[in-house]
Amino acid sequence: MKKISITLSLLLTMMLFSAPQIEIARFVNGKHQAVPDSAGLKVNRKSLKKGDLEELHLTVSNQGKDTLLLRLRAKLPAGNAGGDYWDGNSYRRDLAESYIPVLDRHVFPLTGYRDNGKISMLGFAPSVIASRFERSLEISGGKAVMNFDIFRVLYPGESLTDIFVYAVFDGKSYVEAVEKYHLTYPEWFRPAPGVDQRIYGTGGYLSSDAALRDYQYEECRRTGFDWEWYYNSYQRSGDYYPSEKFWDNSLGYKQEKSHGKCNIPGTIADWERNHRIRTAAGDKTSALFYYYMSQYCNCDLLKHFSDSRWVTAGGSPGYRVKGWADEFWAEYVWSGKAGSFGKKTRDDLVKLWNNLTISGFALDCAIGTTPYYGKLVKDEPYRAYDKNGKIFVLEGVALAYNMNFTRNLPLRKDGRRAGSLVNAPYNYLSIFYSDGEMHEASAWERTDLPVPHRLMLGRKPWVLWRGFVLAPFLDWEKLTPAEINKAISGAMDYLILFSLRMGASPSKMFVRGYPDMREIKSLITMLNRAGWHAAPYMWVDGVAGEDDPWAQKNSFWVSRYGEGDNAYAVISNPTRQKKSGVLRISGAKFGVPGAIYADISGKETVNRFDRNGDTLIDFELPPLGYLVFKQTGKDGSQKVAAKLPLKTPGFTMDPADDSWVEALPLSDDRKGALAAIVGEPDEVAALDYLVTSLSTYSAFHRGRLRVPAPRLWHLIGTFQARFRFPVVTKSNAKTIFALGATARKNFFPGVNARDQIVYRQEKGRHFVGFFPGKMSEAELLKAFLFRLDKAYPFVAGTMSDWPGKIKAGDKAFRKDQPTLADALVHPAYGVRFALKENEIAVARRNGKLFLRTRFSNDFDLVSELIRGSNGQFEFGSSRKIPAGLGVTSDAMLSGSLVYGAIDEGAPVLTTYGNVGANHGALTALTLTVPGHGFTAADIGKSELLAANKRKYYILQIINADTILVMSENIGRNGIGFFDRSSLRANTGFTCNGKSYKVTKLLHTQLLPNARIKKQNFLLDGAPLPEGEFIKRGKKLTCDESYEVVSPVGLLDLVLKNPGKKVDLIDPAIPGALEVSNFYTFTPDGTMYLDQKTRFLEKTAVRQLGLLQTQIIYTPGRNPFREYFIPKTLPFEEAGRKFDFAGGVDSTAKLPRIFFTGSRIADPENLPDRFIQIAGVNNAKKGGKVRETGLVIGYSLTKGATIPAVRKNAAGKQPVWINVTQKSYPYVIYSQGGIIFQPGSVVEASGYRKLFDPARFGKIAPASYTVCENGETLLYLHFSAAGSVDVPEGFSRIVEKSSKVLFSGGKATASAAGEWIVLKK
Amino acid sequence: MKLKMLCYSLLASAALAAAEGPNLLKNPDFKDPAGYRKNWQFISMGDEIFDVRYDKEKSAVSIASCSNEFSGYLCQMVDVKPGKRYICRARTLLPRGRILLYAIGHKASGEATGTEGRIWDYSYADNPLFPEFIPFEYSPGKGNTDWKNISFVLDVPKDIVRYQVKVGSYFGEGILYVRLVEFREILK
Repeated sequence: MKKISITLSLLLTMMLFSAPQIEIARFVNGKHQAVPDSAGLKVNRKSLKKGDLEELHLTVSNQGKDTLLLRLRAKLPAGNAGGDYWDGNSYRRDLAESYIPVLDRHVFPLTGYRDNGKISMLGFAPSVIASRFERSLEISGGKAVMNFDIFRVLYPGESLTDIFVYAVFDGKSYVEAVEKYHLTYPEWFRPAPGVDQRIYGTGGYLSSDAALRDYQYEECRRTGFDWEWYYNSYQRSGDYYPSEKFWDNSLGYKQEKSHGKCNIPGTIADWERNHRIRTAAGDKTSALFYYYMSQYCNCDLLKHFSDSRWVTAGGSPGYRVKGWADEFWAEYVWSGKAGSFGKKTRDDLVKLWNNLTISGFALDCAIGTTPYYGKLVKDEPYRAYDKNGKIFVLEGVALAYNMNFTRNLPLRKDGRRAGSLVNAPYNYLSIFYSDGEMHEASAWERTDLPVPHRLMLGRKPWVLWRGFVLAPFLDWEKLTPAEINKAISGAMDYLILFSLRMGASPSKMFVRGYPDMREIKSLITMLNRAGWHAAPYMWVDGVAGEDDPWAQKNSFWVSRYGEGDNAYAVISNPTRQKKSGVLRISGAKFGVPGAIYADISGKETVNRFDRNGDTLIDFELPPLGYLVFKQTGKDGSQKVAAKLPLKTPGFTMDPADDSWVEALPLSDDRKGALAAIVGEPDEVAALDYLVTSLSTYSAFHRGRLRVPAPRLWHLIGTFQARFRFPVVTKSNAKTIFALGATARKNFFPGVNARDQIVYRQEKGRHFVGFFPGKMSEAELLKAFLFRLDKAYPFVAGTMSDWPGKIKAGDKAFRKDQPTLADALVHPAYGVRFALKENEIAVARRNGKLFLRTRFSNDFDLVSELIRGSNGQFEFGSSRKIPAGLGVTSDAMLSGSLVYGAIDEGAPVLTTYGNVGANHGALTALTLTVPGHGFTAADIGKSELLAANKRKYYILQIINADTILVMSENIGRNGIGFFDRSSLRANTGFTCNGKSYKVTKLLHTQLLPNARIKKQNFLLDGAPLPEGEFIKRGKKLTCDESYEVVSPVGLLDLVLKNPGKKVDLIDPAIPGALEVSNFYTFTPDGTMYLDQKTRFLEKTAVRQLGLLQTQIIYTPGRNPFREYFIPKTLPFEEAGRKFDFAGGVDSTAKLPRIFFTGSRIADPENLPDRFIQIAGVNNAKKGGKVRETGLVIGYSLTKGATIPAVRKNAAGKQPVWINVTQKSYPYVIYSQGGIIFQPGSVVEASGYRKLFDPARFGKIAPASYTVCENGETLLYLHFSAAGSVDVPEGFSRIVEKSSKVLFSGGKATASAAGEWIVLKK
Repeated sequence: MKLKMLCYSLLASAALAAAEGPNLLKNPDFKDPAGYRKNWQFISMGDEIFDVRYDKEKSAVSIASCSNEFSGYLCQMVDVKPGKRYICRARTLLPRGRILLYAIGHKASGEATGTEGRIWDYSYADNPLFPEFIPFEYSPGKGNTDWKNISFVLDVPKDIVRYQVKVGSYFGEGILYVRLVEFREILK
């Protein structure tokens, strides 16, 4: 029964679906009148079915003697008044009165009227070329009639056929009419077959230079660049391919960077050579569309084409411009079928196509709506007349003619067809005849244009051009960084959602500096290639707006792309509220009832279906979020859970854990390139530009990191050839990229892989090979380069207008970062691939261990972790590297030195000298005794007597002239002591009655002097891998314990084993003390040390320091140093006044300074943090620019460093600075020595950190945070009176000086030298 | 150019406190008995999209535009003294669209020059970034659509003897109101 009713309904519709009535009127005396038979007008009418539409072919012939100005009107009854009308540009609801649109720009030659669920559509076929058409809705007697007019001028004898199209169907929105139109004439709404498909990608300018061609490949690959608007390369407009007649050698041609002006004098041959090279290189990565403006001719040239001079309605010449379409004056010209200029233009286009490697043409300002009234009108058949009856032909007719001409040029050998891109089209002709449009605006400018233009483009590419133009929209001066961040993030969100909705493709100007845009590019390109649909045939249940799905204010945005296996549905939430609902997709409307969808993110999607075959998907969308579903099936019923299989790349890596990519040594600052490309020339050449891309990989990345924002053409001299990987047939480089079958065979014997990138490490060298299968070697290499990019990210710095507002021009912007400072990341945009806020990285490279931590927003710190003289852990040098660098082993070798650490772990000073850390017991003498004649048999046996009869024993025979000796133990009370002063060089010694002369005597530490018992580096609790590696983690620890051997025990062993060589750390030697160090390295850059010193024999300790420091390194020109030691008082030393609490200038060498007595502010609370700062004096930047801070400090909360404990142990001299500028703080200080019995333990804790002294401004530069046992402490030290904003969360005072107030999130000091320590 | 505009804005601020001469524009408040357009001319790129009328309730001229396609301005010529400084000011209300107030210098020969001062005002109501993607509060004026004065200051070059003062719609669909336009010498 239901089926019958549907059939009846269809029949009824068909019965009502009557052809439009045709009214032809003649324009006479300013009015349209009926055409009399005497006018000689013949009309032939024919109807044709075309897809879902009806075509009405109307041929009019002027068989009379007079020119006929004709209005051809199609009238289509469309139902009752009060319906909704789309006039080809705008949509109006509930029209109760007649309506005539006023605008004739941006108008689709189609209209639609919706009444009571019926949509009537009327317009003309896309093949109709009309200089003038109009549309209107006539309401009369409660009925609506759609009118569509074409205006023609027929001279006697002429005839012309126009095709009206119409249909009536059930529908919800006018966009369904457009969809039917697109489906009926698909060839008009896709780029022509053969047009370079890169046109769907990211467009822009290459901005390259002849000197940088090799680096251009990487620039394109990195920024995802797909096609170029090959800008203004002719000498004069109108001479697009230079001809002898018009060429001026003194003007010559243009480099890319000259952007419109000739800057290289030369011949036509020079011009040709330049562009042949440029296009041949550019085409390898990007489709090039040669720019021309056929509507402008250089004014001098125009004398040669005077028949084509533009004529306005008033009879005057056309618009003139200078410096834009042409370096000189140029003026409007007719370039259509008729006239000499059009012919010259097309001749030039042929030559360009034949001689340059281009993909087509870029037509600037292809407005198309300017009317031409000159004599050539008579030779242009698609002329019309204006409201005054004046005959004209529209500029768009010429543009269409020329685009059609180039489209039909012979195909290239590779099958490519010449495509056309247009900018600023106002007319349907400019769009219908093009293969894509460039919208020279951002997504939020001219918001009236996107919908009509997108509808006219259909599935053609549509590029948004201008980048993030935001300067006028924000109140920059008054916004906080967080607000600016939110605003810019909002603009990016809009662009992303807008692009997904409208099938727009953001240009390179939106991508450079915006990693979010680079990352979403592939999705946008994929969807656009699949093809945007005018009718989404989907909506959210219960939400208004389905009749106008492209309205800006809709609360959900939906769109549909592609067909069949390549179909997608997109829904987004353009609000800041989380939203949910039921997405209804009417698959039957596009031939796929019961269509099944799956979320492309891989999440399971539950599809339900209603009786009509509509798919229902329950969704949740975050604020400003989107979902993309891929059609995975059809004919679904009831409920289907769909999930896309994991996308596989088509190749594998061996080893599968591809972290080896990060560890590949590619280059280092000192040696340059460490990698080479090895292969047979022919085999390598087959990989074309990709080899150059790989070869320049490091050179490009390093150069671009230094100069991230400027266009490529500014970078001559930036890229250093020494970082290029040579392309050779043999190499001993550390890393080898084996390209081609021969190299694969040589470097990977026996490996028979397919579709695999194979890595091998052997004897410290690294080998990478690309084994093709279904994927070619070039494809594998390309995939590898993208994998490498994760380790070496770069997407340039922002170049929009807004970064200048906040001085962020060389940074990249990632949206939705918590603060602007964090959002503005380094050009390498490492947010994803570089070190994260809460991460550290550890690498072993060339056998060395490196640690990477955060330093500031702009920099990370790389420190080498080395082993000291006893094999114990020791600090190596530290370098700053850009924070955005990827986590790679190469990055660990880069950067600039900020601190060269030497001997930073403090020893324990005992009666026999410093022991532990880098030191050995200072108990021995190295004697140079030429031809001494001693042998191993004398070790521990022969007694060497000094002049005062002190006995010395030989420990080692170093060589025939040198021995190592040690005195008998002369210690008392069980504490060892050894005499180094009795045996002197001038008196020598005797042995067995023989005298020996000593020519040289050195007091010698016994090294090694400690037995390493354990030394375990753990990253997040796991041991570090063997060999070369790089790993990320949250925390690195080093659990180390070593036993300092007793010199007393050593001597005993030697004496008990006369004549035997004794290892200085022989296990049989008893220990003197055991040092256990537990180092913790955290992401903020803190090294925290918990140390236990357990005494194994009775020991007198004079000093125990835990940590000590060298003088801080000073960078650059006009450097300075400062030294801060809080809790000290001002004093004078060597005629200089010092106030270390407020900070002293330590640029000039400091005298030896002991901090004792009156120099200590409070004997109960000794100075316990020692802070140095280095920087440069820069007048342009306001004086002192503090760059690096270094602090060592003691724990305030545990062990012997607690002030209440330490005051007793180190009160007499808590710290001193030597003339070497080295600083020695103490946990224990006693001139006479404090006796420790065996088994007693000293526990001490402290920290060391290189920090950013700019973080708390000029008021408190010596301030920093320390991570101590999972808790963060903030140390603020004031160098002047003032306030500091305390970072959020620090609320509890650990200690403070008297003149500091902490209130309302601010710490305020009333004087310099004050301090406060806070914790959370 | 941006720096120049900033200077103009600063000068305009400073000028608020300075003494000003009489308003050189005729019928500046559009209340001439002969009609609100007396001494004013409306010049546009396409009249068909504009609806210009006097709004009695608001005591102001309204310029409504149904499209972003064209600009249209009320214009009046005013004589000036070379070397002197002037302030150009308009009292405006902008519920939706874009206003441009500007002045083009003319030589004694009648030749128009590029010497000009200008100031824009945007309502942001038609900008899709606002308010969901960017809060109105972040925009200049914070989305406030109350009556306000917009102004700029001009230093008249030696070869300029008159200015064409223009106020109206700058490629913005919407409606704007102008109650008063002033062009006054800033007296030292």
